[in-house]
Amino acid sequence: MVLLVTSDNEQFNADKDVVERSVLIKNMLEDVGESDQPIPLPNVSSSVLKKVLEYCEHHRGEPLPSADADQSQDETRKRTTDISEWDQKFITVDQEMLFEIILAANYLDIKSLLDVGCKTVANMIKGKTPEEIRKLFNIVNDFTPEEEAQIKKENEWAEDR
Amino acid sequence: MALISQGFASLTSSIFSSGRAEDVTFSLSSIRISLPVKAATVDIQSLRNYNSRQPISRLPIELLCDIFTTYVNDPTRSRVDRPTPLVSRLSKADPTLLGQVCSHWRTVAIKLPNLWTSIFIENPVKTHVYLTQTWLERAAGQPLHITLWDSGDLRSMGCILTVLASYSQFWKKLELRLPLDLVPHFWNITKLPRKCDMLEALEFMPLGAVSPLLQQYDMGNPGWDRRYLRDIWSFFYTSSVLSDIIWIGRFDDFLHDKTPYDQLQTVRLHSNQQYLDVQDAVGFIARFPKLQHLNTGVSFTSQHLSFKSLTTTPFVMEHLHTLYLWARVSLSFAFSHLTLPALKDLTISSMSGGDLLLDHCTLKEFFHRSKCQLERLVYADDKLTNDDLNALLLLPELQSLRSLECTAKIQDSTIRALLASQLDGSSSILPLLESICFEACEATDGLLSMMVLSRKPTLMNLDLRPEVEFGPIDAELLQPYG
Repeated sequence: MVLLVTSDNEQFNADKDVVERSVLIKNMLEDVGESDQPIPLPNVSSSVLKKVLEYCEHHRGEPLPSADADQSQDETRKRTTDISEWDQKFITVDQEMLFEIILAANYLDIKSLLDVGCKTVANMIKGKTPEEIRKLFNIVNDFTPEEEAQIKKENEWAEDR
Repeated sequence: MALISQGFASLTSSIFSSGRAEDVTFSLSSIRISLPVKAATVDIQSLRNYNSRQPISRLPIELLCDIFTTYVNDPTRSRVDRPTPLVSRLSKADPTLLGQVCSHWRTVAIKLPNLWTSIFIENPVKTHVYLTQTWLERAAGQPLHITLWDSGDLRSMGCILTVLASYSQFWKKLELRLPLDLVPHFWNITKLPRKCDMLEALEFMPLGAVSPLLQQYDMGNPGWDRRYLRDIWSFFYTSSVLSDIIWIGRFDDFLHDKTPYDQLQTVRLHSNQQYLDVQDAVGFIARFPKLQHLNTGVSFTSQHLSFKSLTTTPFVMEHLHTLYLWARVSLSFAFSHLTLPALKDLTISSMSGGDLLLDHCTLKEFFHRSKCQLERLVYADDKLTNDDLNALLLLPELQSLRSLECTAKIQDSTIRALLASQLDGSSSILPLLESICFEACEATDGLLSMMVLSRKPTLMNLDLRPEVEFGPIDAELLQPYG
């Protein structure tokens, strides 16, 4: 078992083969060798780590992308926005949590979880107009007049129709 | 001015706290237009501060880039986001809309070259010229995959060709459907000192060439010079990495002293004006030592072509794995001269009647000599008998077949031959077969469904069409397969 400590000082015990889906933790464990020392994760809160461990537990034993996987393999994996049914259900969370999971996956270096997060956001954007995307992510139009003019030119084709 | 600034601050704060961000933007944007520059800057800064506090803004730029790249490269996208002029070739997604969400997204999208390298332009009009230029600038010298389809308006298409040609050194894949009226213009462009060093794959289709229209065009335009096409091909051949070509036109336009026979791996040729005769077809294939994929037609006589094979013994094409021949004449001569050990995918297709394409003995000797492991066979020859087909399906070189398609009438003997004899669904012949397409089935009712059920679970895809209609047993049992 491995002891993990989150940014809000909560402790989590998890099986080694579960936490080693994180390349960061795997490397840390290799560096320190056999030890009971807890592993601090200052960039991950307890609520997020709970979700991340749930993901790692479900995918325990699945092959990890090899470190020397070539770029084309990586591109192929990223290209499809298909997400498995379990992963889809897992990632159905509020936006705050979604982005926290993505950030944690990036920090912990869990490629497959990072892919699921990025694909989910890409799917959310699919088929939407810029206005709809702004509304979705609660952001506002902050363009300068120069940018507005460029955008207007990009959209001139619409007047040809 | 101070009053206005205060008013801004209170308006911004009160509406942001209400959560009605869209209304805010609209109100602030309207005000912004009428204010002096300094106030407008404050306004924009407030909006950007607001955006930076939203959850999505926590993502670092490299993750936003990943999301944008996934969005643009998704091949499963089934529809265009909105009616749009230029879209990514792979996904039909339009990355310009990512740059129209907010300033931060715009900066990231514009500076991410791989969003702009796959360009699909269909029926171009005047405003597409600016967009084409914009996309190419944003692609920032990365290898380009460009598709320009259909004529739209000729003037705009001409301008787009000029813009595209100025980036020819970055072309990696080019699909060009060029109206014949623009061929001289394109010829002029390609005569300039420029190269297409990165070009690996080319699909070139002068519109009209696929039908007799090109001949009519020749007659109606006395100034028309076939050298245009030959010179354009010479320009394409400046690429030392060009390996895949699809050409819709005459053989003698693309085959000349500049043709890099030694480097071409995929050759797909379509023309209804020129065919190779069967002897020329063999000599033609022999010219491409690295050929992996060939798709062409074979007919009675070759016009003004001569690739006659000098060899009388079979020769080996080591790399050819996909062969698609559509023919009006017997292909026995070709198959008695070819040895294809890498062959995985074979399509033999009969055009408009004619003789039986292949006799069984020639085909059997071809497979024995090649010792290939075929995975896909499409045999579109109505004259193929069930006896010959059954004998073919027993050949060891076909036992690796995963997909089988036939147009000949399929009767009881073939269905019985395919019936799995083992309880576990494995079969003594074609044990790996996953997909069957029979275009004309005439079998005893129940036999077809028995064969299908006996080959489960390996057999997954079925396209079985009855000669008249299925009997009640087959109709019911085959219903789940559609």
